[in-house]
Amino acid sequence: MERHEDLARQLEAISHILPLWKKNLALARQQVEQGGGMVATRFSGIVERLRRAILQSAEEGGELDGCLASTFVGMQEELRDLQLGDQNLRQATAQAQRMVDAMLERLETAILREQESARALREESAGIQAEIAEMLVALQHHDRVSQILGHVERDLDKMFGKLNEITRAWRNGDSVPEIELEHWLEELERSYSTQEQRTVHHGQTASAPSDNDITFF
Amino acid sequence: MSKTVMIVDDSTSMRQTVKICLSSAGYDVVEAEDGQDGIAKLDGRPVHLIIADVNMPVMGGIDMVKAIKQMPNYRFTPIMMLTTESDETRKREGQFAGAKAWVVKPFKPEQLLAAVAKLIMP
Repeated sequence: MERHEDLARQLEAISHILPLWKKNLALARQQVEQGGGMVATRFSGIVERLRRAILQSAEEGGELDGCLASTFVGMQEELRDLQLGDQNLRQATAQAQRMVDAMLERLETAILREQESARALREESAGIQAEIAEMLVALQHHDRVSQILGHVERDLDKMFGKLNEITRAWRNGDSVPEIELEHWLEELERSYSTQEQRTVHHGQTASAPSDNDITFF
Repeated sequence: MSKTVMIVDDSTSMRQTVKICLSSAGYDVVEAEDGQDGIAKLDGRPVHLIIADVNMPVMGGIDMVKAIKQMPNYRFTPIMMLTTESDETRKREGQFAGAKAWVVKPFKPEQLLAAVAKLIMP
């Protein structure tokens, strides 16, 4: 009975961590949309990886106590929710592709026109310059998404390591290893590099980062 | 003679983004992937501005600023922090360490260039 209570406590701890991953992934999704969907493919890949990992754990946990298995299923459900926005991500990717295509087309046009008119080339160059600037901003959103996904990935790997420990201990009849929730959450928070992540970590709503926040000392 | 800017960031794509931006304005760019690498690459060469990320492995940006401020050849070289961090406490840490500006990503290229021009002495 005591072991069941220990296990239930660890599952309770996990249930506190999962929503944080979800919030971080939602932030990443926000960035993908702001960044023109350039990283949508990678984001979908990560979600798929999470889904596979959860499924695998659920299968390996077949011999486990019912509540552990049902928690795995619950986690799977949570992650499935994350995929619901995939339609938006696909649209964003298509939009980014159109932007790149348009830029390349304009470059090509500019080169062709070079022989005809130096003035036309200058005008095209200005347009291309503006598009390159947009691409540079989009690349920074890409970088931010990579950071957020990196944090979630690392924490997820750590969680699966812990789940394996719990699974092994349970099967061997040993006492269930403890997830120190407070310590876990502190470590996760320390890994953040953006204010939005810290804001959502504490259950508040993060506003999108503003461009051009420059402070001179 | 063109001015040299060092960009210190562990993200290759960020270094490239800044490099494209600065090169288009005629600056020479030296890249480093963390604070320690940045210090090693200074190596006596003239650098007119250092742009550094805050959160990096091996040596973070703020520790790098502190170390550079102890180097006689570079103690007056302006340093700009370019980071996703917008936390006021971190900004103050950067200021006390000796940074001259704090730019939160994502930046617009023209605004980064304006800030770079402002920090580099003519």
